[in-house]
Amino acid sequence: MGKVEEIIAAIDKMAEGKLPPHLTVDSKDFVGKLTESTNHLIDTLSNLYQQARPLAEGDLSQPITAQGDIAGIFKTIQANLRHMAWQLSRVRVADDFSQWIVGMGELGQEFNQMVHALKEAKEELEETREQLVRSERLAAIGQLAGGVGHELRNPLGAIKNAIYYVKGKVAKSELGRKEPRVMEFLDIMDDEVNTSNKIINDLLGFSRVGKPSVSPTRIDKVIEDALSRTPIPENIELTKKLDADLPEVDIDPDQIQQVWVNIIMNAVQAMPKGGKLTIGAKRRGKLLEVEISDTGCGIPQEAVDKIFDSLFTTKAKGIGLGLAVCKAIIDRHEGNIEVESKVGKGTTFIIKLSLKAE
Amino acid sequence: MGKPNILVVDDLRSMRLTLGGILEDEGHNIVIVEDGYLAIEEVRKTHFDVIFMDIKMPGINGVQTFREVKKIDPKTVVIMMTAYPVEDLVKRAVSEGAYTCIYKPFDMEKVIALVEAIAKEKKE
Repeated sequence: MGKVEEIIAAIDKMAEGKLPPHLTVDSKDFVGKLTESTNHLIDTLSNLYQQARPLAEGDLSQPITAQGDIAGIFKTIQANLRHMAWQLSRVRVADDFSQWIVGMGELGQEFNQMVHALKEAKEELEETREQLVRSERLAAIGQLAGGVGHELRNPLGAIKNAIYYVKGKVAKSELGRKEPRVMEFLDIMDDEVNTSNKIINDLLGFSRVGKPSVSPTRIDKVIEDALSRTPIPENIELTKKLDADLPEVDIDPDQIQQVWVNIIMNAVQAMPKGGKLTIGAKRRGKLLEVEISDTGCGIPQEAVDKIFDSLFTTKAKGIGLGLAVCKAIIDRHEGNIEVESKVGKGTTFIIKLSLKAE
Repeated sequence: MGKPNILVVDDLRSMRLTLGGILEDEGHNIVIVEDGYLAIEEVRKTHFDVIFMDIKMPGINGVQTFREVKKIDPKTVVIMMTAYPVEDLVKRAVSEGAYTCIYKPFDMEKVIALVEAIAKEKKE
């Protein structure tokens, strides 16, 4: 093959994007010069290829020293990629999600979206961590309060017994007749013992809101258990409207009992001068619906929305934990709890629980 | 049969004195003890119609005591007492034959009514 054909073959090869080997320079004439220039071209392309290869392998550290517009493009690409790597390291090291890539078309957009997603993930993680700390704190408070609360119930029990005895004696005595305040104050003592017990109950509620351990349960039995545990004063008329054949429902009986106890205690507190307490349970399609109503002082509209927030209370004394615990327990059972109330008329709590899928 | 004779078992002195005192005032013969061991000794000596048994006590707890007592005197009616709202121990005792469980602080009127109901049952 003649030298010129060799040259043409080499150039054709480069035109296909491949690198041919060097050509031998055989003469010093025009063809020889053409051969030298072709070799020069091969060298330039080879050099560009070598300098650009690290970029292809993700190595941004090798300097591009080749000259010319084409090398310039590779330099720009390298600079862009270095910028992107630097932005990423800022995100990684300094948590800095604020500086985004400007320009760089589709690549830049993808980069920015990734940084944005990272920022949102980080915020969600922080919120979750705060929630965890909060719930751990609550659990720790619950445990501590639990121990203390249980201990307190023993002396409260003895005090309540003693009040009962003394009231009985004083009522039949001349002292009771002559000094009405004596009986009145004994009643106060009994009421405050009940209030103390309720506060303990609310506190203990927090130690209860763990994962429910569910089993098929008869809701009427849980309601009866709750009633046996909550002292209901004589001046409150209790009506139970429990449907005859209520199906069993998958609940944690201890936790749900806590819910009834809390609501009943609140109802009793809302009716210091007596009233009506009605507890109803019925099946409504796929739901079990329990309603607990009182004819007490009612809850103003502004307070109704906040009533399930922990620590929210309109009472001057007492801590508003009880209803927050109720909501937490019902939520964990994937049920629903709502309240309807009218100031001066009364309040109704409506709790809905899913029945077992048949 | 006169009013049921009653044994009160509780490690808290004020609980023993007040519960026992009120029941005595109601006309019952009462014996009060502060732990399970003494309770078992008393049951060996006398038949009690009703026993009020605190659950959490030093030494053997109320449920263990209940089991021993039932072996000695199966006819005795045992009422468990506790400050703890829900307890596995309570459930076990009730499933093994304890009459019921009452929760401190309890309503003495209801407790007296409970004892009367038990006395009526025994007559029948």
